[in-house]
Amino acid sequence: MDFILALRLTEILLAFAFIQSSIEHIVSNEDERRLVLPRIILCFLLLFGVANSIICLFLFLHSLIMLHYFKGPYNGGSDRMGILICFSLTLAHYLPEGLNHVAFAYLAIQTILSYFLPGFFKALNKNWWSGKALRDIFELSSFPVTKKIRNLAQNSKLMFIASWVTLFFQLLFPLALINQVSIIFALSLAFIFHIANSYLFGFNRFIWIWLAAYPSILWLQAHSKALLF
Amino acid sequence: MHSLKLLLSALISSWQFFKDTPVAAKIEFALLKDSQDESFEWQEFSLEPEEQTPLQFLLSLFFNPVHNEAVYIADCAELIFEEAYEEKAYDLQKRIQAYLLKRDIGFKSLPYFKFRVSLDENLYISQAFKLLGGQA
Repeated sequence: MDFILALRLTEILLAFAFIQSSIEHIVSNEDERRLVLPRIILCFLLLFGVANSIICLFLFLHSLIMLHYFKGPYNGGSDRMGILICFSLTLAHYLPEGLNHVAFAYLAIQTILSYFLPGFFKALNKNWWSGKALRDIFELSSFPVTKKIRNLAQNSKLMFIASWVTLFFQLLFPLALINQVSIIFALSLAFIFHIANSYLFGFNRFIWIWLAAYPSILWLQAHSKALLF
Repeated sequence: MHSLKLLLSALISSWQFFKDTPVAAKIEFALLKDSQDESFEWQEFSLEPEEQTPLQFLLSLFFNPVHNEAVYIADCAELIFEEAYEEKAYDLQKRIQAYLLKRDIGFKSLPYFKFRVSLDENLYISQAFKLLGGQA
């Protein structure tokens, strides 16, 4: 995948992810409707490829306005990832040749870290080794989930297996950069991981915004040797 | 300064999802006859979603505003004891108010409400607010 194609795919997927999250605010209140309307218009312009560089900059600035409006991210990590993608795309458009690749590679590296680091921090916590941490998340956490999902906490074997599957997947994720087949396999697993999180905890926005960062990883994997040497 | 901190946390994120168990803050509300009413009872403000059919789950992948609002309310309740407490308390008030009005809870016979949030040893109790309108 070449740089231009990866950049364009990221823009299209970002526009889709932002439209998806913005529509959810449309049904909220009048203030939020007014807040997200410019974002929807900008995203359609980006989808149709109208003045991409300036649109990416405007989307980045608009994300800052949203951050200010909600006094922080509305949807935690998914908002953070959205800002990161807008930031990297903007720099990739405006920086001179060479440096623009670094900006896009930064997005790929941060996305890889977004899988690896949670696994690393979990691995430092012994409660993750026994499945207790995951059991507590299902049973006690603040995430609004149904009783049926909370009851999964009672299945210790399931919690133990799910904990280790998560730990292995997250810790081994960077190794998938070895070749194209392994990275496509790892990203497919990651996509399923997000779908599972959406089923269990309702985190639907994470699926689409993380998907928007995948072209940067595919591009980095294909060009990592050229970038390093 | 706060906005800059928020921006930096996005650009250089620590990505520490589920490192520890986030303990849920408990949100309760009470409906009052008037702003001075002391004979009210606290009721749990439940954020628990309804069970989904497979089709509803598929749709929720693309459109899940009620759940995302519930996640945001839970976040506000936790952050009420941290630095942005006044803003989060105001946001929480607005969203609880919208929730009660949307479901037509109270406002004819009991037109005021207040809410409280408890997390570990911390307790926040709001003043009374008019359901239709704002501050009492």
